Amino acid sequence: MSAIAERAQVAAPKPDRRARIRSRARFWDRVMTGILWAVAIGVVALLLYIILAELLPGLSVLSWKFLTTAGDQGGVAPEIFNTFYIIILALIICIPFAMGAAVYLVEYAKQGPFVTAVRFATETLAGIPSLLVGLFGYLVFVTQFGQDQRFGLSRLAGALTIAILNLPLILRVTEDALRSVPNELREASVALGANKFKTVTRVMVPTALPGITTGVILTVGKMIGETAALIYTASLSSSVNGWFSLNPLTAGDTLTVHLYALQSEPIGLNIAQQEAGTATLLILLLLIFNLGFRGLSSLLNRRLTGGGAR
Amino acid sequence: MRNREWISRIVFAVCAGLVIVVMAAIFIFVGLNAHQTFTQDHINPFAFFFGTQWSPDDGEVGALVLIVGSFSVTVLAVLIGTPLSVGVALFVTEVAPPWARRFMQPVLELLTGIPSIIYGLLGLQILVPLIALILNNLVEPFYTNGFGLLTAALVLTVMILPTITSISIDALSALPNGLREASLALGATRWQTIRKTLVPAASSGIFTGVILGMGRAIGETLAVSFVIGSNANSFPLKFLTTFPYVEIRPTSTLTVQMLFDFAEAGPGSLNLHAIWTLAFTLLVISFLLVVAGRWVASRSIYVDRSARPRRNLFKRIRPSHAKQVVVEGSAQ
Repeated sequence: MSAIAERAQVAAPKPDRRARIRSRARFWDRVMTGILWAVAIGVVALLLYIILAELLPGLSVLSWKFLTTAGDQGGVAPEIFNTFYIIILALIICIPFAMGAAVYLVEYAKQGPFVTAVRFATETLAGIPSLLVGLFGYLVFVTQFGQDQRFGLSRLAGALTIAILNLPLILRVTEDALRSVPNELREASVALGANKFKTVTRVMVPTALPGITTGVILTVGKMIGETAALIYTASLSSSVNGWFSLNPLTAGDTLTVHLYALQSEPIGLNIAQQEAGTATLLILLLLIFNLGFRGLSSLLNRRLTGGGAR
Repeated sequence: MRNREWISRIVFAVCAGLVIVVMAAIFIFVGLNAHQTFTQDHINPFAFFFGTQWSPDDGEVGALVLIVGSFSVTVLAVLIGTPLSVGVALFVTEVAPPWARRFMQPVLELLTGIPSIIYGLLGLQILVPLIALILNNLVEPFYTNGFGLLTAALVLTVMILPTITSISIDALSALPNGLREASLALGATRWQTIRKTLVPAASSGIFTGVILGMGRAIGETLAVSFVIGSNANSFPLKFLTTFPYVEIRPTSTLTVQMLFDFAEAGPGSLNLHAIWTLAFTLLVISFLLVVAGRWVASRSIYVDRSARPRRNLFKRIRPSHAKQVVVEGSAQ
């Protein structure tokens, strides 16, 4: 008995050593918690700094004239118009295919080589650098495989390129939204005798619509910032006259490409001012799309689904 | 009725197949242009990938500097960015009170959404002079003009931070709560739990994020083009025998050289062919990164099970339903 007690005393660490280990662990716990807070605060501060550093210098440049005149009078109206024109055209091209593919993956496909191939292609496409997609767009849409002109440097070629670039993203977003539709809704639709096509078009897609909208808005936020894919497909500049035509074969630059052109070939009036103003405008658009429409889509979600679960 | 069902199925399948077609087309068309450097201009592939002289107008297309430039910028950005990103991810999943968690999500999304050209401009206007100021005071006067490896890597760090962070957050929050509870029940502190249990358990998810971040960094063009200095004939670092032992020099990357040269290269010229070869090289690199990311992701044990596809409702119902429709159709 006494031997057991003796052994127990040897095995157990001395009380003061145990306390030291514990206090050291607590000390590091506190230090690392502090470091994690510092890293997070640092990232927030960095974001605020980036936003303010780009927003403030250009605020004085923003005026009605800046927003409504073309480059010959120091404005960026064609660039604003082209940005939205290319984005809307790209969405019109991209969304039907992305949605069709997502519906196929969620509702129709059986696990097999085809689905694996589609998923692999989606991931690969998402990983291809945007400059490469831009060069591909130049090859296929601007010229006929590098020889004759097809669409030329044009908003259509730019939109097609942007559509390819964002196809994987919209596909994934739509797929997620379709998958998050409760299974009971499908079961109810099938129980009512609806076939698969009806179930998809009348039940699945409408229910998933708020999710799809949110995803598309996030994608639009990304499209606004796209530059590398557009430089060799949609041209580096817009014509001073006729930029407001709806002809998709017109060449035209977006806000980001305009910024690149100003930086790389500074020719024209008030370059520094135009640059600051364009950057401010870009940041403003970004804030509107990321924060403003987030509120809108949560409102939409609540209206359409009656108290959204998301 | 049955016909339409069949047609809709085909239409949806074609949409899905289009993704494969587009991906294949990119590889095929870039590849068809890429081989011309070797077949038409008779450049030795060895000389192309290991040559250090890039001056296409004189018939010299050695791309080693560009390849080394791309990789060194990417690796440095990942080395700086990964600890920071994992830190932010741990903050969001383990440390942050609910209000801070809600606050961090839009912050990360905004960081992702800021156009690369804005990062490039900020790097050019603020980071380049800052780096030059610090290094010239720290090392010796006129040591660097601020352009080069370090500046580009710092800009890329900020750009890949949201990518690695959001994937790490997914990996960490997919861990079952039992892991946390078991570790805490053993008397571990929160930091011990994080270091010994959570990070190892989520490591393959975090690594997937790192690989995707590398993919984003190596393909980034505009932000890098403003701050790299774009000199295709000097390696990013030159090692010296005397203090300061290493010199940071303006260099170039695959993407930057493609961006700048494509505008000037005439049709059918060696320069254009070499750009397509660079493009195909980059395409293969990013493809390998995607494959590597997929492989690492497939090895993770803890994944979000809610994303699993559901069983097919129509499997058992369709036969009787279809038969009925056929009878109706044949009666007409």
